[in-house]
Amino acid sequence: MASGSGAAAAAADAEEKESGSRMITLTSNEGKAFVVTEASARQSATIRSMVDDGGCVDKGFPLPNVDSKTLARVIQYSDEHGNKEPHTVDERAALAKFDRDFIAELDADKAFLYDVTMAANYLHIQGLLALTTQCVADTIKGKTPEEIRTAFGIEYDLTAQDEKEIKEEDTHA
Amino acid sequence: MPPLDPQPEVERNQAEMPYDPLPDILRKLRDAQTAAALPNPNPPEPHPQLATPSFPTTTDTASRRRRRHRDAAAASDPQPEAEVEDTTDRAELELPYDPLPDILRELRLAPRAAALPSPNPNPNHNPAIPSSTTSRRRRRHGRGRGRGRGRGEEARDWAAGLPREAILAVLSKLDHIEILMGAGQVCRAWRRAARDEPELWRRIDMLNHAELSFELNLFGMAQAAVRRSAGQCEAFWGEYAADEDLLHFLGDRAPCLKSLRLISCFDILDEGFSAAVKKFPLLEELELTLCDNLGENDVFKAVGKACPQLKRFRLSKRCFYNYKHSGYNKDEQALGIATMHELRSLQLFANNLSNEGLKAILDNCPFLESLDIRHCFNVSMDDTLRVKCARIKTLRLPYDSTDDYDFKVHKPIWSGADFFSDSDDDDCVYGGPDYILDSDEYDDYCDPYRYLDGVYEDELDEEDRMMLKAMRMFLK
Repeated sequence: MASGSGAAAAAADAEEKESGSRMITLTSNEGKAFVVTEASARQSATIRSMVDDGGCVDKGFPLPNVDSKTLARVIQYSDEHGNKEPHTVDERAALAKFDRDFIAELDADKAFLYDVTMAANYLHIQGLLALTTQCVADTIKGKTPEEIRTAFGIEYDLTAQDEKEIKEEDTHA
Repeated sequence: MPPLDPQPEVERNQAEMPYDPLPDILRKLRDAQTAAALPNPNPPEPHPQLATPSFPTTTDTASRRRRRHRDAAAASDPQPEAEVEDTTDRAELELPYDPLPDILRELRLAPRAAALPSPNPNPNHNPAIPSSTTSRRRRRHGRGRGRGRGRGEEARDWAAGLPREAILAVLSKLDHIEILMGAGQVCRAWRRAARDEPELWRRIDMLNHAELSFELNLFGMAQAAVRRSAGQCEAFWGEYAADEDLLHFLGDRAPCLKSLRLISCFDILDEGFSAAVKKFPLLEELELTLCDNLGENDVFKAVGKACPQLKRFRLSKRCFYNYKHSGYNKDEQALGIATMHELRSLQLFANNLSNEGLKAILDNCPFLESLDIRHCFNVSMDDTLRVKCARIKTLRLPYDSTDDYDFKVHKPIWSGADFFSDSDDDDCVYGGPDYILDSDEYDDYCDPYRYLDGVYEDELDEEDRMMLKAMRMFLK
């Protein structure tokens, strides 16, 4: 980590910032520390704005809403998208394949998908949120409400008023 | 890069429960309150719309049939569990709506023991980034779902736990019939999100669900969609989903409409459309595909007058038919279209217009840059037309390939003799010069489901379809 004391260190700091090689520590709610590149961390709009505001880069960022397992997976995504910039067609295809594999694993574990979705929303990682919500949408497609409830373990809690509205929508001519 | 790992991996069970901030005693209290506030858990009859809605994609006809079968079985099943008196067990509360056979339900509920919560493993964190409104909402609405419920979902509350932005992100990836019939009827949180966010309904897309028109009221759904757009609707695309009343409703509620696409909307007639279109002065895009009852009585002149900004117009007919009745003006529609002076893009599929009509369009629409007149076999490209078309950037001519056409292509009918005798393609006289069309290629377009063995519903003629629809309504 850059120390930031003295002109030389500040210059080095700035240089590192420019090249995106400055390191940032993210801490899960279990106290586990993850050190990532700034480029990776900047995938998160939440962290990006704090870094740009000159926030506590050296102290790191505790993330009280994210557990270690989820954070590790989120970092896997932001490393892939933050540290590499796809220029060629092949690189873009590789990134698309990474996304597909990434979401296929989450699709098989809905609880984990939920955690990653929550983390992506909390950290404002738009690409990741788009990926996970697309996965949820794909699961929903073609299903009846009851099938959707079963797929996600959602309770039926519609009120009588809701049911009346739904009935009206369907019978209005 | 590899993360530092100063601590041993926590157990999965602990890692799953970081969000639940409530002590057990509070959770119990809250559960009791929520249970008391619930509506009658045993409604006498499951609401038909709740119990049976299904909207298969056009390819899963088999699963659709299975689903219907299963719903029917569920409906006839007396479901003894549903008779249980008012109980706080939330799993039981769902039973009236549960279409699964008992054996499956037991299997599904079995893993509930694995879902017991554990205390937050690390309560001593020092939050630098404040908790979002999301987690506050969690605390308010969370219902201790980890307790006593299995299904492999443990503490994840996909309903009230999911932040609204995330729910909206999901909903925005569904089409509007999927929202109205599926996601929007799942639970309160999803329904509120779907109902109260006009942005979601700014572009209403109700295409590609033609098969539902036989069993559901798409007009009603379209109306609900328009209502939810709260005046912000800019595009309405409906297939079997609009009639004249809906158009007027749309005109009153969506004065800024820019795009109107109507497909197979047979209930819309010329007079009604001419009147309704006056309510869309800002319209830039209009499509009328397979709207068989539209096209005469100067309806397009009315459009040209009412929509001075119209830039894209599409008029696609089912099938080219070479009308030869005396007094019939082949170019009436073309002359109407020629009043749409701002057109940039025009598609006329299987239209009767002749060279004269096309000339009128080319002369009166100076900005036209894309023209598609496939299957307009009364046009024969001569030198005059070629010169006039020279400025058109994208040009598709009558005999051009229809491989990329997005609707079923029917063989053209050249002789008037058979027109009223039988609607079956095979009996018609067809086959223009060098014209070969393999209609089998287009069978995949609709993939209609069979309602009787061996008979596709869309092979029926209009009268039989109406009969079928009426019978279904009667049986309901």
